[in-house]
Amino acid sequence: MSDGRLNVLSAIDRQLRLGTLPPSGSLQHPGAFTSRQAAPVDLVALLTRELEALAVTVHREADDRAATARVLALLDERGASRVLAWDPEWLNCPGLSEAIDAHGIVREPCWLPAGAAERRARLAAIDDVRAGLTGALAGLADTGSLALVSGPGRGRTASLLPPMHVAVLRADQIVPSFGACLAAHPHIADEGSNLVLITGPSRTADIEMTLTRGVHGPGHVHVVIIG
Amino acid sequence: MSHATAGAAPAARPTRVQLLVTCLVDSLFPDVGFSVVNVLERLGVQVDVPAGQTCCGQPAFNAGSFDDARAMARHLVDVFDRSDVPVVVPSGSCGDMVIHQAPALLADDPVYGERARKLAARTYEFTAFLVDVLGVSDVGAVGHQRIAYHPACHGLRGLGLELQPGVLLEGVAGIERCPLDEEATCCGFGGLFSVKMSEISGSLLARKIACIERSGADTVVATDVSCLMHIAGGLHRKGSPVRVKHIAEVLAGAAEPT
Amino acid sequence: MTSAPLNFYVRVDLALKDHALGAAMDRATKKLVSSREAGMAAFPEADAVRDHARRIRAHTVGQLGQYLRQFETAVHARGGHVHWAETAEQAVAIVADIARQHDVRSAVKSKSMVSEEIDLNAALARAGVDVLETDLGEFIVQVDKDHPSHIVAPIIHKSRHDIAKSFRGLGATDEDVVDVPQMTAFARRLLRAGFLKADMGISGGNFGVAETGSLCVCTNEGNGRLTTTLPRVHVALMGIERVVPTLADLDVMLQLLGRSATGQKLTVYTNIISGPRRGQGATGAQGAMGAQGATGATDESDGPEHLHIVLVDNGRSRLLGGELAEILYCIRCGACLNACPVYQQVGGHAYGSVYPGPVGAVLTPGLRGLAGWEDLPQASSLCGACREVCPVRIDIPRMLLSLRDESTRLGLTPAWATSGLRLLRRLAVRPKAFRVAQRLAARATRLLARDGWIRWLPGHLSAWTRQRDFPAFAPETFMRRWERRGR
Repeated sequence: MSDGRLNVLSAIDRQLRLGTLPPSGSLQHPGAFTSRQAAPVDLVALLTRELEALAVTVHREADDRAATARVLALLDERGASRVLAWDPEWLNCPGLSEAIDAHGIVREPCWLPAGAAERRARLAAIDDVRAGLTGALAGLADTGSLALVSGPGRGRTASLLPPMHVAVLRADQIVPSFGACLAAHPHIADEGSNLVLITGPSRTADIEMTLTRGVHGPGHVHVVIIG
Repeated sequence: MSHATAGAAPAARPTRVQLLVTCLVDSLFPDVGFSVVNVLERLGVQVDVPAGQTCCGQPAFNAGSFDDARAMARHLVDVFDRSDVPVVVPSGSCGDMVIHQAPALLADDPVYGERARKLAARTYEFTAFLVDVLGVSDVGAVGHQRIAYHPACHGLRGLGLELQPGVLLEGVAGIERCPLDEEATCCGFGGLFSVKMSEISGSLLARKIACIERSGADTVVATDVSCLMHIAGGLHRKGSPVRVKHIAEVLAGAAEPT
Repeated sequence: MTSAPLNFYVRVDLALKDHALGAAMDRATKKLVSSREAGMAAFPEADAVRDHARRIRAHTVGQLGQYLRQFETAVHARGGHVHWAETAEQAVAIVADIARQHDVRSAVKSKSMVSEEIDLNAALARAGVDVLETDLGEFIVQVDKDHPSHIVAPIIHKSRHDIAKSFRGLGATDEDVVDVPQMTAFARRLLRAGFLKADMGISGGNFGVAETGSLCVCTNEGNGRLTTTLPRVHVALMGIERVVPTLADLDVMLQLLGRSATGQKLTVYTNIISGPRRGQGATGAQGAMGAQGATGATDESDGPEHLHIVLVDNGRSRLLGGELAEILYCIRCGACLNACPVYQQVGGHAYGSVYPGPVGAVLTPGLRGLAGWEDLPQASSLCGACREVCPVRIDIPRMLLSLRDESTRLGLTPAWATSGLRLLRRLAVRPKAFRVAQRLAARATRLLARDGWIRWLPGHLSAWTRQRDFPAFAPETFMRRWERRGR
């Protein structure tokens, strides 16, 4: 609709040219925000505290072997015979995928076909998968968030469709804040079409301001921190 | 935006001020004006009262009659800038009008713009004048009431009067402070809002009065007679024994209620 | 924009008499106010971040054309489409057209205030598209054929009994509505079925990021993610003013949005979308195979095949460069609603517009013109609570006053008020006449008064005495007594 584009942009340009300045003082971009806060000392402790305040269960594991055992235990607790999982190299835990296969749990990929009927069929087929397993790009300590980037082998649905989401990350992937994450990944928008910050299990308080967890996204979130 | 004057406190302690008595005090509660004078004189400050003062224009401004408000603001400037001593206003809303709104309204006026700004820079709300300019917290008052303090909105948010009234009430011997629920919530006066949107205004008033009754106070105190007039009207309609007083009356140790 | 059929005063009257509404508003706004306070108190740099955020918004709105062009280019570079809608009608037509192109029969929708503004659902229904609201509150609004009454918490005016009744109408059993978690689970089951079969997902956009062509959608429930991931087509509606220059700027906004709205540091899902699903096979070539994984190394496995972002003007551009431009800084957190004593008393429906509360009292007349909406800027005591809590420090009272000034000039204010003020002005600039008027008023009020109080005032002033008594004028004014003292 090029008419719409032309009209909207010319209206904007005209108004800005003819109008008086908005009463806000300087119109310069203020630049980056420089925090005066001291950087947190123990990022793992801070992230853990924030996650737990959000009703996320945190598991600190010393190494890949322990983390693998933990993940398998979580899947068993859930009675999961299938898990919607990211590809092995993205789980931040070498050996985990093989162990899941050996344990007899089927790893479903996040694959969604493009065609309408096929897509619906695939969604119906993975609808009742009880658990989703992902890695993460980073843990954001100050808000208790997991930053996940979609990309090859890292589907969005793993952290979205099943009622339980298990995320595995290494202790050195924890950064102080989203700002720090952005600074460390200056081309983050190139890395995948979707970046999601997950801050706790799905929730709503729409009915009489009463908090309920597990609405559409996972109601149970487990974070396994290795190291 | 929230400073009790557009300018800084004067370097030397003032010994003389002009009183902007406000049209509501002038017409409805003149004793409040005399209480202000008593307190200031007790503190060694001489008070002049310029004769031509009438109304600062706030009712017109709030109602969106900006032309009328400008005319009234110009008149006020004429009356008060014949002398350059500080101006004291026993009202947060009139104070906000003179300090912030009038200079903005007259910003493009080639003659009055600068004069309004200069006047604003030496105008002070009454409690701010006592605490911030005279540096006083105890004016030697005594009382006996159980007081709930209602922070009038323009004074609180427009002029930043968070601390001064409380400091002064602390200094009054013999009174008891009763905490007020929803203290900073508007009483519902809002100028012509009280008439144009009288149902909503009445609903907010009922809520404020319910909080006052819960507080156990026998007296409601504020920096603005506009709020007090509205609250008193509601209390009286209800047959409530709770009285209202302007803070100046408490500080003057006034025995008679308004 | 839908406007309720009754006039403002009638709606207010109904609201004030509705005690259930009063109780619901009390509970909800108290909770939201204290949550915000706690969230901001725990945020050490709140003031500095608010100042910074305001400057970002002011700068962006002041260069809006440039940033929207940059946004469009960046979205295109990622394989998305950008559409420009001057009016609500154009916006609706664009979405209907996209639906037609992709053979859409059913759509799921996450919360979008812009979609309410343009009345999208009704238009899509006419075009043969079934739209299912998936935000729990909006879903209930849809089921009840109601309207949201708050921009963040759409059904704060409803009790759980109201909702149970609506759910029973959808086939819920007693078990399903026994408590809030059960009711939520019931809604979840219903809505999930909708997610899994929808052809199109329609979302709003909290922010657009110009530099990267990203769209940020914030939700707590996860419906925003499902809506923008499962269906083949994603359509996002965004007001033209919602763009920010960079991801770092987005970060600043995000630090304030959750805290101001509900006290949360971030909403559960902060979904930053930069184009549709990526990859060579992403537009359909592989569909038939149902292969176990993506075939190309750069192929993403899920997400929508097509992304369409619809930029909606609908009156916003007219505000640029003027007295009301500042309202375009709004990030739709709802804090001003929660803090407003008027909104607390009457709730959102009384305003009769999509945006209620203080922001609505400026935005609605701003976008639609004052005629027909002139009551909204009057419905405020100018207490300033809204300005105090606004994360980007928007001076709403200033703009309400500006709208009142415009109302006067357009002749939309009642004659009795304008003539009364004209008279006050004429008296105020003539002190002698003012004093005479005071003496006359004193005499008149003393006639009407008993024990110094008046129970009834005539004419329009009776609105005062409907609610409270009015004090009699003093027998002698301060100025007269001062004069007599000879000082």
